[in-house]
Amino acid sequence: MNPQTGTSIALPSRKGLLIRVLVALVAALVIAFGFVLPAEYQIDPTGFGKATGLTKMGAGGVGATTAAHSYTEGFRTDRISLTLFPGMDYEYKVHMKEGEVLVYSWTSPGVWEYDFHGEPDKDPGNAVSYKAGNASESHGSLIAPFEGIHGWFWKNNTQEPMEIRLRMAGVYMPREDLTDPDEIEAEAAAQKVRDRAAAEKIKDEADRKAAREKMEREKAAKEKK
Amino acid sequence: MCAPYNDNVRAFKILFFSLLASCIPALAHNVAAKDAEFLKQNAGAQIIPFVYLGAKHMVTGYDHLLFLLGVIFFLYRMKDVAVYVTCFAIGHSITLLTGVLTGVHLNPFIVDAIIGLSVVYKAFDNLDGFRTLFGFQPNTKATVLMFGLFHGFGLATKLQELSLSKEGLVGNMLSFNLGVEFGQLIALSVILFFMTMWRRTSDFVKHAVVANVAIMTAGFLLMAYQLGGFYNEQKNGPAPKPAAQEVVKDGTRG
Repeated sequence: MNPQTGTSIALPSRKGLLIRVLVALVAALVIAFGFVLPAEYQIDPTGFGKATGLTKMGAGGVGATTAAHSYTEGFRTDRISLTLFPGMDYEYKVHMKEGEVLVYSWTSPGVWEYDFHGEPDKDPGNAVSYKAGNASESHGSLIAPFEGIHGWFWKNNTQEPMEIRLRMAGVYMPREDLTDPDEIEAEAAAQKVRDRAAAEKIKDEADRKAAREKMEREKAAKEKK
Repeated sequence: MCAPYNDNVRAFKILFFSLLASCIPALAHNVAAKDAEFLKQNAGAQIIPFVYLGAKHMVTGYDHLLFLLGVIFFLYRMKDVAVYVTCFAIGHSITLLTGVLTGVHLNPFIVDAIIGLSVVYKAFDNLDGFRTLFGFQPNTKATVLMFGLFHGFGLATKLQELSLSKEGLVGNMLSFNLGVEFGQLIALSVILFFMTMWRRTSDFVKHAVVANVAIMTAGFLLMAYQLGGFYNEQKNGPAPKPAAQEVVKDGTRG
């Protein structure tokens, strides 16, 4: 019985042990410098990685996920501004394919409830929220994690009408530029309804304000008498 | 000597297959990136998700698994297994908790290289290398505890990478640590199952030395891989993280 192993295994002698440790070390170094390091980190002192294409594999991996992306077409910049009355909300969306990039910045004089989110074409209804909260501005970028619509929901919870200014740059397609005529029609109709509601609300507010002022004026005149 | 083995084998079989069944969804697709996103977006206490993440990290962390394999390679009695696993758990709990709480940030490549070294060490120890070469045997429990400390730093670094919010930090961290223990038990059950089967064959005596040389090779390879990563980071800077980014201030003028 061997005290270390609790079995009758014949453990190597001093020389045998040294040989085995050396074998383990050499085998590990051969695998590391021959395959793992060239492929993972482009460390290739032997030139074997270059000869076999292992280094290219690693380099491609880095480029694909990190620094430079290139697109054959579709780059654009947009400026959008919209005003919402108290209690109203609006969704502004763009369509992006997976991996396309959007850089954005929106600002407003007041605080909005917002939700920057995306919805996959393949799985509509399963929306993913990128960033949500209450803010008067937000600036950032998005690399679309899937093909679908990506954009903002804004809601005016204040007592004042507020304007919001959005600037975008990147590779994306605003939904109003959609080529499907049915969708354009539907979007236009929805916009008309929204515009009319907004206009009525303005008129309503103005009428009420005028009435209130008139009453106050009359009251003041009465008190003067 | 054989009767308790049969009981153990039966118990392990039941445990093994039920665990295997529960592991399949986790293996089917890689959800690591999603996990990180989840943690970024969800502040506050998240007990079960963090237990799950801790367990997952342990079950899928081949470096921890190799070390555990080395540790229990020659442990036959459940009592001994329990003692060593407890030493390891105490070690990594200490550094995981203090590491996250104090924000100590060791370079993850160096920590992982030391974890690789722990694998080499344990295989060398299994070959009785210390007595054969240096004429003494280091206290095995103390060294398992010490390497447990390093494994804990590795876990702390992983947890810190997930950019935790301050809110609910302690609870989440304790949940993660608890998950690590669960994951360790799961992994250990699987390893023990195979070890027990293997030990009962006559091949075990023949192949035990070769197996430990193979474990040592894997440990050396882990070290080389991590040191290569460290060298690469020093030369080229840390790898950029691809994701949605937000800038604090609008940089444009006019």
